[in-house]
Amino acid sequence: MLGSGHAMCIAWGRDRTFLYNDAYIPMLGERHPEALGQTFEKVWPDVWNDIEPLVDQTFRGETCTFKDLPLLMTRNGYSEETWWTFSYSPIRNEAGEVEGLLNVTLETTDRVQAERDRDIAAARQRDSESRLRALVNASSDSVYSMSPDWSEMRHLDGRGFIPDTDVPTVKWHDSYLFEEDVPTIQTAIDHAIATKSTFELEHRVRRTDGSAGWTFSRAVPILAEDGSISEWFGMAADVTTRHDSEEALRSSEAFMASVLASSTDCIKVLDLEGRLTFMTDGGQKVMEVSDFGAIIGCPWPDFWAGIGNDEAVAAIEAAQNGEARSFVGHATTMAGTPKWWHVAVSPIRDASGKPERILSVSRDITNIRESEEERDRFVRLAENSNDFIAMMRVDGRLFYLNNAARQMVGLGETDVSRLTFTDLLPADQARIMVDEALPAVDRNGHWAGELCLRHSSSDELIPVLNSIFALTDAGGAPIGYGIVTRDFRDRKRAEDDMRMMNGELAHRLKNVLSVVQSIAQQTLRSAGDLQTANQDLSARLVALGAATDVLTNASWRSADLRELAVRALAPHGRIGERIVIDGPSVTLKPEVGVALALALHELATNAAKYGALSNDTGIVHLDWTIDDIASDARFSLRWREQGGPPVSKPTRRGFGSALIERSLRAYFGGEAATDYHPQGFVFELKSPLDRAAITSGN
Amino acid sequence: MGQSTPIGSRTILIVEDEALVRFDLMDFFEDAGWRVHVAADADEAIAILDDHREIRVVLTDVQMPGSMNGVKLAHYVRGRFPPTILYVVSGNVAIPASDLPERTTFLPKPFDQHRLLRQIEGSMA
Repeated sequence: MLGSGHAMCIAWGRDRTFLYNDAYIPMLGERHPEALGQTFEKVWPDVWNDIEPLVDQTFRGETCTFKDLPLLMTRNGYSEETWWTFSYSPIRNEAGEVEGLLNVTLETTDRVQAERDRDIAAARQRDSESRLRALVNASSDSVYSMSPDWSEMRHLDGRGFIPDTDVPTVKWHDSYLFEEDVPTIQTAIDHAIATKSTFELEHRVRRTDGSAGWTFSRAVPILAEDGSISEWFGMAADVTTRHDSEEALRSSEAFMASVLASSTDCIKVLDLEGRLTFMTDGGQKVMEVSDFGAIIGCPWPDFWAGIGNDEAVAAIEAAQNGEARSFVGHATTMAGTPKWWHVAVSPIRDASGKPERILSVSRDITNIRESEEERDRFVRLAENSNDFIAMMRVDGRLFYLNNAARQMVGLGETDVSRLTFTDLLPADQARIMVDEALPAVDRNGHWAGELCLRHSSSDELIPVLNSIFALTDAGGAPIGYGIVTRDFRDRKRAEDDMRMMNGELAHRLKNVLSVVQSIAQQTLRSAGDLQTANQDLSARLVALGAATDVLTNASWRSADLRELAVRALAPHGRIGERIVIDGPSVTLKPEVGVALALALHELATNAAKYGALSNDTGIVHLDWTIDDIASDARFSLRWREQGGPPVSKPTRRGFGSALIERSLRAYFGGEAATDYHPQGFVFELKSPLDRAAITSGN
Repeated sequence: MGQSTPIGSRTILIVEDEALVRFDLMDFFEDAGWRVHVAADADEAIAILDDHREIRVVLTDVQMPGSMNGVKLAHYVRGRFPPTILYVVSGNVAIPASDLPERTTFLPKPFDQHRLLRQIEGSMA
C-alpha cells in the first residue's frame, strides 16, 4: 500500500489508528507527519462528523464509496474547497471479522472544478439563449434562419405575420414571396452573400391570410471559424401599415401634385406681403408666363390695373386679417392677352391658425364673360324687339314674355309664370296650338302659322304670324318652346284692304263698263250717221278716260275740279287762251267728277262745232264759286261762250245736251240750265256744295 | 195677274243711282214702247211704286245710296207687290239666289239690254 501511487490510508483497530502512504501526504497538508499513528478522529476533526457514520458503517462490514465529496480543507494554511472520490472498504482478519478500514482516495477537485466551470458556462449559455428567446418573443418580428446560400430556409417563426416554417425547405420562395418580386430580392441576397454583409430589404411578402404585406427584412451571416458563412440569421418586421400609409401619402401627394398641375386655374402662393412665391404649371400656362423666375417675388397686385388693382390690394389685406375674398377683374397675361378673371384670395394658416401665406386662385372667365355679354345682347334684342317673344316650358307654362308681348296682349307687369301660353289664346286657337303646332315642333323642331291671340282685357283678337321652335338645353334635351309672333294686324288689314280694293275695282270697272255701254248706246241712238257716231263715241270715251285718270290719281276717292277741267278741255283749245278756267280749289266726289268731265267734253265739242271755239277768236270762260253761307253752302259753275258766231237754239236735242242737263241735274242734285244767248251759249249749274264736293267736314 | 195691275201693262221702274246708266235704260225702254219710271234710290222707288200700281217690272241696282240697297228693295217689293217681276243688277259679286226673294233674276253689270227686254216680254206673254 505504501508504495501505491494512489493515496491510501488505513484506519486500524478499535482506535482507528490512522496510517497513510506518501501519496496521501498532500491530502494531509500540514497534518503530516503528526497524523501518522493518530486516531482517525484526531486527524480529521473538521470533517469527522461527516465521516464517522461512514467509518462505522465500513467497520460493520460494508463498503462505502463517495464520489466527488466536497471537503473544505486547510491543507496549505488556508481553507480550500476540495472534491474527493474515495472508497472505504473493510479489512477482515482470518476469522472474517473487520479489523480495519482501507480508504483509497482520489482527489477529484480538478475534475469537479472543471465540471463546475463547464456547468456554469452551460448555465450561462442557457441563460443567454433564454434571454434571446425572450427578446425574440417580446418582439413582434419574425425570426428566420437560412442556409449559407439561401437556397434553404431552415426555420422561420412567423409571429402571426407570415406562416411558420418548422422543417427546413427549399420551396420558401413559393410560401413567402410574390413571383414578380423574386428577382429584386434575389439580387439583394446575392449581394449580401458575395460581400458577407448584412442582407437588408423592404419587400412584399405573403401574409398568413394569403394577402400581400410588406416586411423590412434584415439578416446577418454567421461565420464559421474558417470564415465561410455557416448560416444566416434574420428578422423580418411587419411594415405593412407603415408602407401602406407611406404609399397612401405618396399617392396622395402625387394626386395633389397632379391636381395642381392639371388645374387650368392659375394657382399662386403669395407671402403675407402679397409677393409671388409659387405658381402652378397650369397657372403659368394660362397666365402665359414664359419665365416664372422673372416675376417671382413681385407684388401680386401690381399685375392688376385700375379697379382690379384696388380689388387685389383689398383682397391681400383681407387675407392678412384671415378673411377670404373674391372679385372679378380684367388683366392682361404676361404675353399681353387681355382676359377677364375670377379671383379668389384666401389665407393659408399655420398650425396655430394664424395667416402664414396667401393663396390666390385666378380663373380665366373671358369666354364665359363673352358668352354672358353675348347673351345679354340677345336678351336686350329680345327685350327691345317689337315682335312678340315668349318662352314656355314643355308643360306650356310661360317663363318669359318680352315687353312687346306683354303690351300686345295687355299683360303689363303681370307675373306670367302662372300662365300658360294657351291662356293667351281663344279656345279654338288653343286647340290648334295643342293638337297641331306643338306636335309639329316636337316632330320637326319648328312650326309656323297664323293664330289669333286674345287681348287679356279687351278680348280683341289679334291675328299673328306664329313661329314656334323647340328650346333645348346644352345636351339637346327639350326644355320648352320659343315663340316669336309677328303682329299681323297691319298686314291683315292691308290684305283686307287689298281684297276690298280688288272687289271695289271690279265693281267700279263694271260700273264704268255700264257707263261706257250707256254712252255708246246714247251716241248710236242720237247720231245721224255711223261716221258721226264713230267720231263722237271715240271722243266721249277719251273724255271718260281723262276723267278716269284724275280719279285714279286720287285712288277713285276724289277729283280736283281744276285738274278735271283742264284734262277734259285741253284737247279742244289752249287753256288760258281760248279756254279760261277760274275758280277756287274744289275736290269733287268721284261719281260727280266723271259726269262733269263728260259734260265739259260735250260743251267743248258743241263749242267747237257751233260756238266760241268754232272760229279763231272765240273764248270759253269756265268759272265756279262757292257761296259759303253758314251750313247751306252752295256750289255754282258757269260755262260762258264769247266771240263765237251768232247762236241759235238747235232744233234737235242730242246726247250732249241731254247728258249735260239731265245727268248733271241728277248727279249734282241741283239746277242745270242752258241758255242759247245770242252773244254766246251759257250753261249754269247750281247745287248744294255737299252733293258736289268733298267738304272739309267729310 | 194682280188685281190692281192691268194685264199687259208695259210699265217698268228702273232704280239706278248712276244717272248716265239710268237715262240710257230709260231711253232704251221708252224706245221699246214702255212706260218708264226712274228712281235714283230705294226711297224714291217706293214712293213711285205707291203712286203707280201699274208697274209690272222693277229693275234695281244693288249698290245705292240711301236707307235701302237693291236687295232689300227687292224683298220689300216682293212683299208689298207680290206679282212684280224683279231684276236685281250688280257690278259686284253675284248675289246667291237664297239671298233674293222668289222669282227674282240677278243680272251682272253690264248686261245686254236687248236680251233683258226679250226676257221680260217673254215672262209677260
